[in-house]
Amino acid sequence: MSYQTDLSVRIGSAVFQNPVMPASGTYDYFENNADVFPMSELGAVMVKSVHRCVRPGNPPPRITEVCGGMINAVGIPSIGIEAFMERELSRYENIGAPVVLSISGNTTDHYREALEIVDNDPRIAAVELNFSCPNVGTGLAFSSDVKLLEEAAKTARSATRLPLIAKLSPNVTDIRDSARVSEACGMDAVTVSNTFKAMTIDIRKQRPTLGNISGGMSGPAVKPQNMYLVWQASTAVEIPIIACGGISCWQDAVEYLLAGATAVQVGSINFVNPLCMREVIEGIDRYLADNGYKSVGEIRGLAHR
Amino acid sequence: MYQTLTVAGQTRVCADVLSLELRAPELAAQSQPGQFVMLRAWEGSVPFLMRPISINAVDAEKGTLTLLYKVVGTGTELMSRLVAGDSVQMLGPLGKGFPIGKDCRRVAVIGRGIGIAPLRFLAETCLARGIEVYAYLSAKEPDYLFHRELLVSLGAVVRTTTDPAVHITDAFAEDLREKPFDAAYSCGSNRLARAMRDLHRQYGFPAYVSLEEHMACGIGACKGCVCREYGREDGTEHYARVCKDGPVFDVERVIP
Repeated sequence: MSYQTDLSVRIGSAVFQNPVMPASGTYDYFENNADVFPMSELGAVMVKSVHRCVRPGNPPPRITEVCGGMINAVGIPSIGIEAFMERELSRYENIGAPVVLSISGNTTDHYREALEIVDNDPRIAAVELNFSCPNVGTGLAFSSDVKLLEEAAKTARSATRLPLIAKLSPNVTDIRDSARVSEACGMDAVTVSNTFKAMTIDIRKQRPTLGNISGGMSGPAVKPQNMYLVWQASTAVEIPIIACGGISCWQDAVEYLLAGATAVQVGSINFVNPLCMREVIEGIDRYLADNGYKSVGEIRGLAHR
Repeated sequence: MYQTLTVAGQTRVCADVLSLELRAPELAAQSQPGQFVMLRAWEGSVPFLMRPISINAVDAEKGTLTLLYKVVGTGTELMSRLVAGDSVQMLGPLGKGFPIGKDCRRVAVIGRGIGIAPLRFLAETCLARGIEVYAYLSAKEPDYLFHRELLVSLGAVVRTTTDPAVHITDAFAEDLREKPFDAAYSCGSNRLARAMRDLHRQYGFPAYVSLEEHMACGIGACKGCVCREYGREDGTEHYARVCKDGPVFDVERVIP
C-alpha cells in the first residue's frame, strides 16, 4: 500500500507497514471473511486466540447486544495449538501481512507449552498473550493479579524468542501496575486492553442472558473508559502500547495515538462495518498529511504535552 | 458481498410484520433459498449490530430481494420506518441454504409464523423446477399464515392451522401414508422440527431445519451464534455456527 506518510510501526523486532490490526477474535480469514479488502492492507493480521488445548467454547447464548456495543462469552473455542501449527498456519503464508498469533491458556504451563510448540516459527511475526483468560486457580484473569501476570509473562518470555505482546485485562485497580510488570518481564508491547466484565439479565426468563452468566463488553461504549487506561499505561512504561477498545472510525484511532498508543486494534466494529479497518488506515494517513506530519510516530502521546 | 442498497418499497403485511423490497440485482442473482443477509438500516452505534434476516424472495428479472420480518426490537423497529429511496447496508447472501436433491419430485415445507418467510423462496424455487410442494403452515392467528394464497396460486398444496391443539405435522403424516416425499424442510418452531424429525426417522426422507440465533458477524468469524450439535460419533461436546455451518441443518444434527 502506498501512503502519503510513514505509517510503519515497530513492535519488538517486528515491523508493521501501518499501525492497524484486528483485535483477536473479531476478524477471521479465508472462508470466514467478508472479503471486502485484501488482508495485505493491514498492519498485521491477528488470529483468533488459539488455546493450548482443544476446547468447544461456552454454551450458547454467547453474545448479547447492549447500548453501544455487545457482550460476548464465546469462551475461546479452539482446535488447539498443535492443530493450528500443523493445519492452519501454512494458510497464512502468502497473505502479504505479518501474522500475530494470539495464544490463550488457563495455567502458566499452557502458555509455556504453547510457545514451545510454536518453536519460534519464523512465519509468526509476534505472539500476543491473551492474559484475560481465567486462570484455573482463582478464576480471575491472569492480568487481574500482578503476581499471576508476572509468573505467566516470565514463563512465556523464557519459552520463545518471538516478540511478545501482553494483552491486559481492563478489570484491574491500576492498569499501570499491569503494564509495568509486563515491561519488567520482557514483554515487547502491551495491548490495552480487553473486554470489560459485564452481564445482562433476561427479564422474561428471569435469569442471566448469556450461557456463561458473564462475558466481556466491547464496542464504542467502552472507548472512553479504555482511553483512560491507555493514557495511564503510557505514563508508566516505555514499551509500545497497542490500544484496543471501542474503535469505530479513524478519529477514534487518532485519539488513541494521541493518548500514547503506538498501534491500534479494531475489534467488534468489524462485525458491523467490514470496511472499518481500511477506513481507519486511510483516515490516520490523511490526518497526518493534513496536519503536516511525516510519520505516525510524531503524534504518539502528543496529548500528554 | 457488502453493499449499500436502495429500498424499492415496504409494505405492512399485518400488525407487526413487514415486507421490505430492495434493489439488489447481484444478490437476487446469487441467493439460494434458505440463505440470509445481515442488514443495517441506521447510523450510529445504537443498535450496534447488523440484523440477520432470511431471504423471503428474489426476482432476478427485476433485480430485487424481499425480506419478510417481524418487528421484535429496536433494530426491526428502525427497519419498519424505511421507505422507498432509503438506503441500507447489507452483507450477503450468507450461510448454507436448503439442499434440493436433483431427483426431488415432491417436498414438504413446514413453517410456523414468521418462520414461513424463508420457505416461500424455497417453495417458489421448487415449483419453478417442477417439484410438487406441500406446504404445512401453522400460526397463532390467520394473519400470520404468510403466503397461503400465493402458494396455492403457484400450485402448491397448502394445509394450515391456527388451532394450538393441532400439530400441522399430523397433516403431513397423513399425506405420507398416501404418497412418498423426497425431502422436508422446516422453520419457525422446534416442536414442528421435532415432529418432522420423527417422520423422517419413520420414512427415511432427508429433513432439514432452518435455525435462528442472535448473530454478531453473520460470516463465521465471531463464533457467537452457535447451537449444540448432536450425534457426534466420539460423543464430545460440539457447537455449530448457525450463520456459517447453517442456518439450514440436517435435522439429526441439531434437533435431539
